[in-house]
Amino acid sequence: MTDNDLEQTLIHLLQTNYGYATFRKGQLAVLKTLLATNGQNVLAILPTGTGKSLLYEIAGRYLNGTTVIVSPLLSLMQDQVARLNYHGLKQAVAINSMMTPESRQWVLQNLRQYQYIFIAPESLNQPYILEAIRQQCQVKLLVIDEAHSIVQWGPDFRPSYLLLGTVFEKLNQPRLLALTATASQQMQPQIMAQFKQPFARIQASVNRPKIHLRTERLINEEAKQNRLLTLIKTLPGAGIVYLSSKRQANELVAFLQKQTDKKVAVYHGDLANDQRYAIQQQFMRNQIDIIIATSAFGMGIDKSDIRWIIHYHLPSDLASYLQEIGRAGRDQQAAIAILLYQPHDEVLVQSLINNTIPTEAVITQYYQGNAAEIDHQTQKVLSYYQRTGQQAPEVIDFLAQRLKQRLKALKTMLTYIDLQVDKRNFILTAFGEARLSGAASENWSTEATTLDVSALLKVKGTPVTKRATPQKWSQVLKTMFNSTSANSNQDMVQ
Amino acid sequence: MDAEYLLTKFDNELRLKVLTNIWHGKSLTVSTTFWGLMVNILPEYGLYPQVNLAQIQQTLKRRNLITEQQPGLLVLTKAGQISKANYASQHYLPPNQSINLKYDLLAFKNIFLLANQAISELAYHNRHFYPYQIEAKQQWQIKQWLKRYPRERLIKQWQEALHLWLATLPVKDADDFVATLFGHQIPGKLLTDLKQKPTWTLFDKQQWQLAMFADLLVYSVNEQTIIGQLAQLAKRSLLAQSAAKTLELWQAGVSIEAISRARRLKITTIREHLLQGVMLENWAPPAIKKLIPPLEQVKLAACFNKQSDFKHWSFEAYGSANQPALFTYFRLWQLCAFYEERADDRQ
Repeated sequence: MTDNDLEQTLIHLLQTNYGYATFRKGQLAVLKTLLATNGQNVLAILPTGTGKSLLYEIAGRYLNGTTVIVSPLLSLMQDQVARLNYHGLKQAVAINSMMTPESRQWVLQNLRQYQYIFIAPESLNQPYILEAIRQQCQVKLLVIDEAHSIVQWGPDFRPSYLLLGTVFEKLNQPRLLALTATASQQMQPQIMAQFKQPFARIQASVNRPKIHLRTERLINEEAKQNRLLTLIKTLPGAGIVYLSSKRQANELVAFLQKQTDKKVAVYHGDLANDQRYAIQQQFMRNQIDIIIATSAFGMGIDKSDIRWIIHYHLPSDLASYLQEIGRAGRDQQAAIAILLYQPHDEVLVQSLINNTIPTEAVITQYYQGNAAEIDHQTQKVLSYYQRTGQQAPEVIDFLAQRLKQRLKALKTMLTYIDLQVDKRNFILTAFGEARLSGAASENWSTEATTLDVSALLKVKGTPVTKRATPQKWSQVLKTMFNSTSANSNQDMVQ
Repeated sequence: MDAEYLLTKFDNELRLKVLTNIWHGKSLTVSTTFWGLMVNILPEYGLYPQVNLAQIQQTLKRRNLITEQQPGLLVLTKAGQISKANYASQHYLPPNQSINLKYDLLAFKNIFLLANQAISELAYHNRHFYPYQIEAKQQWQIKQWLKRYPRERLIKQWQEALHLWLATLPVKDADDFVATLFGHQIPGKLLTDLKQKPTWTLFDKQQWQLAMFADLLVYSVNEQTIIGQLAQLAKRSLLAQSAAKTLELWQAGVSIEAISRARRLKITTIREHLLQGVMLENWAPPAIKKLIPPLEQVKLAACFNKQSDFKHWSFEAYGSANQPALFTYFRLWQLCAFYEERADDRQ
């Protein structure tokens, strides 16, 4: 197939299945590089909102075999399966640790009926699961979604990410697509190194010029909370407030419900499945103004008109920050991202980093065979290093470096907050990109200037639907099942 | 979960391990089943798989509401008793959900929600929607189930079945329950948005919702509605296959010894299978007594019939530790007393 034929086929797939006339920037280049007769593995670094999931949907349709997508979060996998179903791709399944053993066994026995398999790296590394995939499926494409997770989480949190290279080999090296929005220059070679294969790198700028970047330093927690309240009352349209603690998210939502007339909902990993679904659906239909969320929210959300994002807690690095603010303005209209900071916010993040990375004493204790008192998560990480033949001194040295890197990334985040000049260029430089000049480098602010929301958001957010008045159950049933008065329940049930 | 909910599970005392195994849905031993039945928590099997009981226990201990009498054996303090009564008056306490022993209630909830959404979308001829995500096997089963019905009949019967059940409820419950359902262009109300009793927490609302699903399940199965047919996808037996086989042979008239020989299992194992069957299948006292030789029944009656508190009968009054058969008879006699008391309570 010629280059032109391939392009026409891909455009045809896009038009017939998704109703779009053209691809977004970067999409076609990725697909052509990946799917050409002499196709290459691709590391695609495309900014949030460029339709990365569409890439593997279309590639899967084109290749007509099984596409395995490594995905980091359970909630994300469920959202992705639902989205594929929405696009008419019914043969999609998610395999993860939360499945009942019975359901998992059933899925493994019936893998051949699925065209898209979403799976967490921990599950994919299970020999019996990998073997079931190998035996039943002709894997044509391996996708590593949120590929920055290999570097961000692999070394000290989810070591299974570091074994994906082996999985790739065991799957007979199908085409490989690593997708991320936020891999820095340092991260990119580390991602590719896992697979020991040449990669084509297709990169678009991480810059989202229409998102106004703003940081505000407040004097204390009370001032921060008051500022949040003011912002929430002022900012139009749909928004997300990110927090790092479930408990505080619950408390904040109660506070905001009392203090504003906005419809606010909390979203985190502890929610029941049906409530999570209802929140997402209400948010998509503009029946919720604001979501108070931990990072579990938003990775799979496809709402285009989110107008603003507020970070109430400090993200641990710029990559996570960009990932989360990237949920805003996907309709290519103006949006605002505000980071609220009070002195010592970094203490919580620092302590999380320190608690995550095993100390020299713990590593030594583990290698001496005294693992009983070491927590399960740390054991999992150290067991990976031991299994891969690394000795205690190497691991101590590596994880000490890792600690330094993560603390340095946090420091970069703090520098970004303190910076009173050229904030946008600071981010671009951190991701190895060229500096912008003139108006292109602007659209940012700090607490030094007043936030002029109406000037920034010339396109107002979608007005939130008024809360529906309660309805009688019999009326709701009629609406739900589209029943006319001629065959209403009153007529049916005597 | 609200920590205080745990207090409502105390009669006199509570074995933490029993509660953990039951709430987390772990495989049931004879001992766990017995104590779960005695303190009426067996029907909550697997309903709270994520609950961190160690943390709740610590919270309640710190607040001096419970204390540990022996390792793993918890008792209420005086403050705990008051707190338990307060909790009961201000919060929602679900009725007995023994249907959960025969049907997986949480699975039914998910199956119902997805089927309801799919039928609502079908009523609008819409195939373009974000389906509620549940276990893949259940999703596939629902798809096959839906295909069995002609479209119009399915929509009509489903709506009618739902209507019939809702009409049996207090209007407020029916309005609230239906408001939480999702379907075509209907995202469903959040539990937090329901205007229920002001003292109710989110956990109360979750409990209320689950009790509604239990009620729907019982009604639909009893009335054999289309929802009852769908509910068969959530049917389960908590009795292990091997125990079920033993039970089948016993009910066919084969003696314990003959079953042991035929199945090449120890007699004690066969007795355990039967004991487990008695508890999980709710045998009536006359059927239970058939497992106890008449002479032993006389001895048991002499030892215990004047003692009403069967949960605290002492086996030593009847037999000794090296007599496993006698211990089985003892447990069966306790179960007779338990079921007789329960029958009395219902009258």
